[in-house]
Amino acid sequence: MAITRRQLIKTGIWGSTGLVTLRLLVGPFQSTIQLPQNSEYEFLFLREADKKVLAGIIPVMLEQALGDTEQEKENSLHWVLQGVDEAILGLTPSIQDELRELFMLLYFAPTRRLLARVWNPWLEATGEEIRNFLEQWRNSRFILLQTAYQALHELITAAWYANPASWDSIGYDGPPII
Amino acid sequence: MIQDFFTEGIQSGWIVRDGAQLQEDLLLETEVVVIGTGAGGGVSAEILSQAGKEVLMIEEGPLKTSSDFHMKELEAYPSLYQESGSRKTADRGITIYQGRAVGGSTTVNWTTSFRTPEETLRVWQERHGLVGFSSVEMQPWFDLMEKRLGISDWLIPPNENNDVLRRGCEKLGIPTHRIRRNVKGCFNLGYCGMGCPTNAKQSQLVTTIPKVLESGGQLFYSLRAEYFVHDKGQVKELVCSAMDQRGTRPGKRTIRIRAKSFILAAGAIGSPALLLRSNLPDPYQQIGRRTFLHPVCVSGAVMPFEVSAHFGAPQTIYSDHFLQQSPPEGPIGYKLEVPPVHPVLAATTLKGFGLDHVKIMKEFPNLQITLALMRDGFHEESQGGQVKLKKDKTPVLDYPLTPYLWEGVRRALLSMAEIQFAAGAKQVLPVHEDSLPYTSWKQAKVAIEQLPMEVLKVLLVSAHVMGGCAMGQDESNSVVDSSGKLHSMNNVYVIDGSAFPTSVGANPQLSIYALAAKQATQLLKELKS
Repeated sequence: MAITRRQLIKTGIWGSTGLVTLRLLVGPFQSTIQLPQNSEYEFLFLREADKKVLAGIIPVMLEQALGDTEQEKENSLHWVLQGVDEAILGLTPSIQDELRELFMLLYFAPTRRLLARVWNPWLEATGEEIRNFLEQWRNSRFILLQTAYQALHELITAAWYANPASWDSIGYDGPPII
Repeated sequence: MIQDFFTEGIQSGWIVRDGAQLQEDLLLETEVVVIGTGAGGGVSAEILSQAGKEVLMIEEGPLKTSSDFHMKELEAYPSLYQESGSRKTADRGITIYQGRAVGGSTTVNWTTSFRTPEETLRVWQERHGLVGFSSVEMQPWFDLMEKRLGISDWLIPPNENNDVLRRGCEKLGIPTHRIRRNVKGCFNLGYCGMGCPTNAKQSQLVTTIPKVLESGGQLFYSLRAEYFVHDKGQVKELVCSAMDQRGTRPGKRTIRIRAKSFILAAGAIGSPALLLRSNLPDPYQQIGRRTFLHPVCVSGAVMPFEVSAHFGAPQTIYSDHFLQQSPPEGPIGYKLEVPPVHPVLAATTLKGFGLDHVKIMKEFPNLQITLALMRDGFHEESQGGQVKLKKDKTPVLDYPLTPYLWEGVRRALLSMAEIQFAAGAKQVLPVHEDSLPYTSWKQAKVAIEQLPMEVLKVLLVSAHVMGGCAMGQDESNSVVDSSGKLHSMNNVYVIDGSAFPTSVGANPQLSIYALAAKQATQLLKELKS
């Protein structure tokens, strides 16, 4: 790989991408989506840039599971982002470092274009582009890309289906009351 | 309201400390330190403490008790499992579900209880030179532990998930049997894997550990045993790090523990890792080698009726038919069982994304899942994996996937699909990145015969980590002797699943209980003399 994480940090490109806005434009729905402002959840791992990457991928990974209305989708996306953040915090420090690196590669335009073949930033990319990215990594002959796909699959599907909001749609009643 | 007698015990004065709350470094002294509170550590600690020994139990994970067990995957996996339930082998080819809390894996296992199979004990004696492990010699220890932990026949009918396995096998003339369980007054809920909310499961959390604490023994949790300090064949001290609040990283405080004897029961992966960190003499480089997993491949089926595989005792039916096709030294055999199916487990297990994934998740109520557990470690092409240390000194298991294993995985995917169709499945989905839902046995057979057997393509999981500190009389291929004593040290005993020289060939909890009862009783005799 031409650009290492160290170089990214050195050039300061990574450092300058911190975003303050909470407004996220989600590509596949071609709609504007806003994280609920009253959320008290404080993200401890995911940075704004990581969230943008995920906000592009999550709706393609989960498709209609996220809900029917824009409001539902928006809420669901928020929950999945929060769930992913919480899940990553429970992983070992070395795996957290790997994920940090993965999100940086996916965010940074040259590596995003080179490795993920997604030309536009995640929130502007089409669903088609993101689907192709997932399929390519899923079936890649490079073990690294395959494992990255599987990590995204695991994090995102776990975050969504751990959430009671998803249970109705799959006919799960939730745990019994004792 | 279920009584949480562990919390009540603490209120009544049990000595239980939380490493994450520690404000200063400590130096402790005791007679015996037990590192790990799972199947091996719990039983060993009870036997020693009941004989009057001063016992200090150490646990890296948190203390969670029945009132914390809300049957939610969201809470259970991060708090009760190693690496939040996503521990993986070095090449990420196998996901390992291993407990990490007071009670170890017994807090989260599915209560399945088998005695060590006869042929396994035979191989341990004949090929690994173990002394004292014949069926006759082991029987009293199985009897003792079955009684202690309420292991008995489960008389309630199997849930539909298990019964599909039974009916499919029956159609094909494959014998199945009932699984015994370590429960008392079980509510038949199906959430054993998230901690038993009713204290029915006779895990170490509700049996041996409370007994140790009642008799004045101590428990220190959120405390990671880092390494032994040793001199002239004798371990002097165990150095531990108190974990941070979240429990994923060591915090600032160090605890040093001096003791006469050390029982290492941190589980396969954990136990060899501690030995590796301790720079012990290991002339034959055996520490961490021969670690086994019973690698499991998975087959999903959509049934034309509701299965509700999340509900009811998780494992009540099994078949050893495919273990008995050939001797352990032959082509790899596998045991058939089923898992409980909860949303996160299903969603992460089932392959594909987008609409494909949505579609299969919609079948959740009708999903039947079958597992095949490979009996690894008996053939020369099945040497298992090796526990290594990462840069930060935490362990990782390097488990190469060999053609010998893949041949068995393909056979197992075929067997499971045939059984599921025989039971009336509408669709069968072998869990593989390249597979599609197949609608007939004929179609599935052709497809499975073609599927590439490659790392990451086939989903492999494991809930049974064994070996890494193999018992044996020959120092060139083992780490401890038949009594569990470390070859290189005079006062360290490995008493957990890591001492097995091969996999067990059955869910291992009862094998570990019996081993621990035997080894701890033997150790007690030595300490007295």
